[in-house]
Amino acid sequence: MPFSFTRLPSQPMDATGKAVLVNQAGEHIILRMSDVTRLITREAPLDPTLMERLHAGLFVTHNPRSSGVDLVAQSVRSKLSTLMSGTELHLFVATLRCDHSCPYCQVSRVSDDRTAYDMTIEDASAGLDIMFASPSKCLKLEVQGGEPLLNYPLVHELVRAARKRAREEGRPLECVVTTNLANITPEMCMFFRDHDVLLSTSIDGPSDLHNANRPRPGNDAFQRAVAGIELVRNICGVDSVSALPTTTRRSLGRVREIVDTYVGLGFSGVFLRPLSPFGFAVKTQSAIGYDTQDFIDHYLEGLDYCLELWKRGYQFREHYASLLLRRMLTPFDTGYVDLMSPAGAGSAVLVFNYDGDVYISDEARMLAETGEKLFRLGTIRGSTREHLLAKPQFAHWIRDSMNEAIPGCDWCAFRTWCGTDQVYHHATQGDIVGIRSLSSFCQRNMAVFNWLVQKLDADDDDSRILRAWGGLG
Amino acid sequence: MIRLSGPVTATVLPDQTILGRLTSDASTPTTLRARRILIEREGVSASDRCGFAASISRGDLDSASETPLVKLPQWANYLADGDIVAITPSPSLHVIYRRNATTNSLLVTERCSSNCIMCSQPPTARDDSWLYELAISSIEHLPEDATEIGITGGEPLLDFQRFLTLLYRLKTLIPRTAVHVLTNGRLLAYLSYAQAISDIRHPDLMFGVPLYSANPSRHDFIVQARGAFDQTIRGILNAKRCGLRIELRVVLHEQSAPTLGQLARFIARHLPYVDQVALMGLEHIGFVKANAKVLKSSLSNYSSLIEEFVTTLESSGINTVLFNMPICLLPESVWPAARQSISDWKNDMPEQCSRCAIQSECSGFFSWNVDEYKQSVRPFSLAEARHFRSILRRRLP
Repeated sequence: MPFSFTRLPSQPMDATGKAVLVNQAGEHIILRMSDVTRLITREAPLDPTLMERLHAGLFVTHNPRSSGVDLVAQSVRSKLSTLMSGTELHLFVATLRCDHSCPYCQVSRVSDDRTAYDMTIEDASAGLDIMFASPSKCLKLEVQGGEPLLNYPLVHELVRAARKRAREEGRPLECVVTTNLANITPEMCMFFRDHDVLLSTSIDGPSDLHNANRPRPGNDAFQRAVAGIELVRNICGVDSVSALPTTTRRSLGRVREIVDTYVGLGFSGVFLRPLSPFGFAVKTQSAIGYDTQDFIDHYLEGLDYCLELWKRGYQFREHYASLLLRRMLTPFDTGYVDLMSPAGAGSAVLVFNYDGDVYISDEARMLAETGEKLFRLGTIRGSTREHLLAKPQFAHWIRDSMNEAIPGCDWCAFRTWCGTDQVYHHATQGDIVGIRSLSSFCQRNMAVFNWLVQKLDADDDDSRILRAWGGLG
Repeated sequence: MIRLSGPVTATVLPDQTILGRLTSDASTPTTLRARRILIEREGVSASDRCGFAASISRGDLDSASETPLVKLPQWANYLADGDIVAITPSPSLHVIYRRNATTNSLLVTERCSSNCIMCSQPPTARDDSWLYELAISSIEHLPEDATEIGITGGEPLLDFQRFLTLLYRLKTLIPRTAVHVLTNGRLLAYLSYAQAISDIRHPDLMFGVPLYSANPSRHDFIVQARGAFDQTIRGILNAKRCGLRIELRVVLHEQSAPTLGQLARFIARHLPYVDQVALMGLEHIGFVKANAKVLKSSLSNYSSLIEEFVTTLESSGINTVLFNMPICLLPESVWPAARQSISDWKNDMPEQCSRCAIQSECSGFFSWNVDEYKQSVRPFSLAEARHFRSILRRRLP
């Protein structure tokens, strides 16, 4: 049956080296190249126990009409079903204004000009109409910024109206507000508690790192965020707030301290993510950016440290690896829109910008702030959902984001687990498909997949912990 | 072990099979008597039998009876009010339903399309459609408050029209009774079969389908039928497509053990929507006697395999249970998965078990397995019983 294979790095290049084989059902197996050759050329029989594993993993079949074909078809169908289910995530940019002036920030400005950078109630309400027109069974509303709490009256009205409508229509709705927590008040928390709103914030690491990354008057971003987390937990509950770090050049070499900061704040995990190449980050690349390999080293050191912590009894996980592992080890979708094939932009997520413009992803609206409005679907005003999605380019973007057909992805063993990002490749290479060998998106994910499959293959503590991260055991 | 059928002596032979619910009440209203079989107490007179479908006598037969009259055989002494029996013209007595039984099953055929190497009830080729007819006719006599009824064979779906008739009667006459069908699922590979079953819309229906390995040739070898794996897998896919509920049944023996872990991972990955998975101990009867050399091993040799199987499936959110495995031969971690599954009529325990403090909570043994296990079982002390119960409590939500 069809599968792709990739030689694992740091293995001999001859027949004794190992390769990982992955099929469309998402199953993987690591074999010596000599066995891969035997399997493909059928010149010599394989060990019977190995044949049983290959059968069970749907890598081989005894006849072309076997039920294995149906099982692979079932996996492919489930994977593509997101295309049929309709957009779930809708992002509302409540304002571009922010009280922080982070050098890597894509979009925000320090300004008091409400008319220029705030979303209006009318636009928010039009956005809700488009969101509730989605056929998706579940809906997710995410309020972004700038710092959305600087436009709290709009956040309040948006959440209230969305909750009311979800109740009336009997649809499950998840609400998230992304905020730096610097200006959160107990009254806001009580409103969020009563409307089941989750909060997502940023913690870049220890106080000095965080404050250097996130300058604000008073140089107290870290202290305010920590106090905000405390406040939210006390009023809304411990699970109501999550945090993400942004990795800058200052973070490199300090991943253990970053992880320790999350452990100390009582989080059960951390999502170690790279800088986005969008917006202002491109301009400031020289000052705060780093090579892809630097990030990979940083990330893998972080993973190792999380595993070490787990072995010492702290059940702390890295979330990006966890969601990749869930894809690798289980048949279940992770619902992670940033790594899908076809890409989630537009099909799984829609973004309503502060000015009423509609984009296919958060990155797309960030790119727009640099003047590139390619991924703008139209305006919220007077548009219906059908009208926005009927833009002819949209179908092309989806078509060109299926990694089965992307040069460089088509033969890659990790294709089944991976995703694509048209906006990223347009921003970095000026082409929505792009060349994989020049793509740090590709380089990064390949490195993580390679690391994970090799760790899983060893029958040891690390492998058991990683299985637990993936949701097995 | 309780016997369920056998020849009887009779005075007036029935000219066709008589089915009815037993009653010892000789003053049953005459309007009900045609559907009742009198099980006689002392001092019953010929006139008392009048109007009953038949009567079962505990003493010598009254040759003057006008009602079909049979003598209660020794083996059927357990029969009680509410039980349902059939009396055939041969004459023989068949116990269809026992009110006090933990489970009741209707054997609808002994014919089968598979020929499993460990089959407890080896298939026959003869026409036994009378079994199906008997089962179909018996439904109207079953009590409406019966909690569950099993349909077993042979392969019940081979005679698909009769299967549909039976299922339809179960749905219309005793809709609140859960129905559990043991089938190899191979005919469900035809979508129209799964669809036809689904169209009946039985409110509480489950199919127990065997899957012994993720490797097609190993599964096909165990069931002695080429292509069975593909048909069963397609059958499961079709069944789930039509909204039917599926319990996968895996029998543990020397031929299925080598790929048991692989099978658990296969189910978790490709069939995560099955409603339950049951891992079952081997029944030492039927073909197992002849194939003992390639099948049998002590349950304790499988401890880590059983643990791995249960953990893999449970951590993927699949409800997993163990059947036919005594608690004292299982590792502690899987105790909560053990179920009392053996029908009481074929459940027995060796002598040691009478000293065991958790005897009443144990799945026990098939009568025919007692000799196999009596060397290895070990009665639990009161302290061990407390430990056992605390482990079960810990797992409760």
